[in-house]
Amino acid sequence: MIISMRNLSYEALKNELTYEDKIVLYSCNACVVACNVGGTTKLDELETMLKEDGYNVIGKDLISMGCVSTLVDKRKTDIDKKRMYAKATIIVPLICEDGYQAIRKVFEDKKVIETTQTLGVGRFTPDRGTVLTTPFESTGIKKSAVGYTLTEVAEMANLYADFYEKDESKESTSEKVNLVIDGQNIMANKDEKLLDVCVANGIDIPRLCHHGDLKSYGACRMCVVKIDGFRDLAASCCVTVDEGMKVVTSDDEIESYRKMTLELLMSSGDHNCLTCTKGLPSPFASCELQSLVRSYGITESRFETLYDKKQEDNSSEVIYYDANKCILCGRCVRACEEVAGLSNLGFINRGEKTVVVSGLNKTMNQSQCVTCMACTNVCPTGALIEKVVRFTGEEWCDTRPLSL
Amino acid sequence: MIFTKPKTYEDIRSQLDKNDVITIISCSSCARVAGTGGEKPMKNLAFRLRQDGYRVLDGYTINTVCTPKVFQARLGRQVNTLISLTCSAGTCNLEQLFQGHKVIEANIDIGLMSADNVKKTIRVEVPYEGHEHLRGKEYEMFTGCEIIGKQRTEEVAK
Repeated sequence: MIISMRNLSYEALKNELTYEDKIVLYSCNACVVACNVGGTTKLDELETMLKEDGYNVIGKDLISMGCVSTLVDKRKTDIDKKRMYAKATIIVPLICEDGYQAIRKVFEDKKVIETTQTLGVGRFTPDRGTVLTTPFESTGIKKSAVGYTLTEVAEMANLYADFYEKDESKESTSEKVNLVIDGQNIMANKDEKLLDVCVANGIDIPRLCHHGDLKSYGACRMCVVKIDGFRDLAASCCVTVDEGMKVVTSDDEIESYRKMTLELLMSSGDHNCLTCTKGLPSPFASCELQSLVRSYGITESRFETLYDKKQEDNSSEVIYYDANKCILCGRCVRACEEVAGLSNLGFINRGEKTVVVSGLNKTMNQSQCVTCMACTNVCPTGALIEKVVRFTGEEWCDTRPLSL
Repeated sequence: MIFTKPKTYEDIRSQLDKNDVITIISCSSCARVAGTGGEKPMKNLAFRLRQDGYRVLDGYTINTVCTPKVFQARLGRQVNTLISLTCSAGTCNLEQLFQGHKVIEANIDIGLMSADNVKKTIRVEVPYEGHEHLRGKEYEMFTGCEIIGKQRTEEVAK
């Protein structure tokens, strides 16, 4: 991965901006996230700080890989993004030098402020985090297989090891609302989503279609809550907080509803955890469906498992898609549209025959997929996975992906 | 993304011994796009080494070898040598995570690149020292062949 660190202080960044500027914050969702200088959280933090200091941030944009110029070019043609960029006078990218060159080329008419310095390449370690192994000679740092931690590099290269501190900006003046969640009095910013407020206050709500990098969707119905004055259970990911709102996030009725939703999901696909890398006992387990099923103590579904075996797609060299494990949460479809900007994935058919397909119902390798991994990064089940393939034997045959 | 070029076959072979039992680890992220990783270069290298009498047991394609995902390669007990078709970060990761194995670097870093999936080209944006003359040069995606006008040179691949 490419190692980049912040080289601009908050004061220096503000000196580049005026109150009349229309600012777009832009970040890559790849290497810079591991370097602690980019990603959704950092975009949100910087947006809040700049807004509190009176700057006009008109939008923010997360891109799956900022060094793929095809994706950067899409920022000029995507129906939502092009309007935002057309209005912007300044782009503040949280990106490596590679990505900086790409965005600067696409938006030559805009001022693009470089906020990071790229130092070379490195690796991610479980114990020390991201480390720099092969620095550019210009940094004066020697090559090391063990690598230098970001804190060490910051000292050696006189850069910032962390992101902008929230207390560098003025105190928040944004409008607040008071609400009661599970009997707790909670203050939140107006316009925040109820689910985000709950999570920020330590109230965990199960969810499958919601993802921090993506817009709210309200498809899975796992995050339903009771709100005074609402006729039915409401999807908390889609509800904006309001003054005086009274919310119950968990009771017998809500939990029974969630449990039934999980059982229906289990009966509508092939969710055999023993043959999937996303589930335990793999060290890379990250199956959100399995995690929820376990936490609800579901051992079998009350519903008959009835589904037509759907086609798997093993055509891509790096992505494997198994429609039988898909729960139709729409995360991949939204990630391909919102983060990659490609809109290469979409739903076809209706009802139980609904599936996610790439391109115009083509295989992945025949579509315009650029393998930016926006979809695999957000998939909550083993439907879309990064392939790990073993080749062996006289003919050097590829086995099926190791996960299967 | 990181742009790499392959070392010569002779360079790789000179570091091998006939008693080595080899697994090839090939990165299917940046190196694949640069034409130095992924399935095809791994297969070509494996077949050539086998023809020359080396014991190449198997090979893995893994996305981002510079992360702990590389542990998904389940090395055979008899394997004592790894050939790294990755960037330098991937090689360092293999050296650190599979200590006790001989790790042979098969690629060298040239610099950082951008990729154009419409034109199927990659472009050197930020070269490492010693490769500054390659800044702005374009190569064919997935093969690493240099694009000169509308032609390409077969400087890699074999």
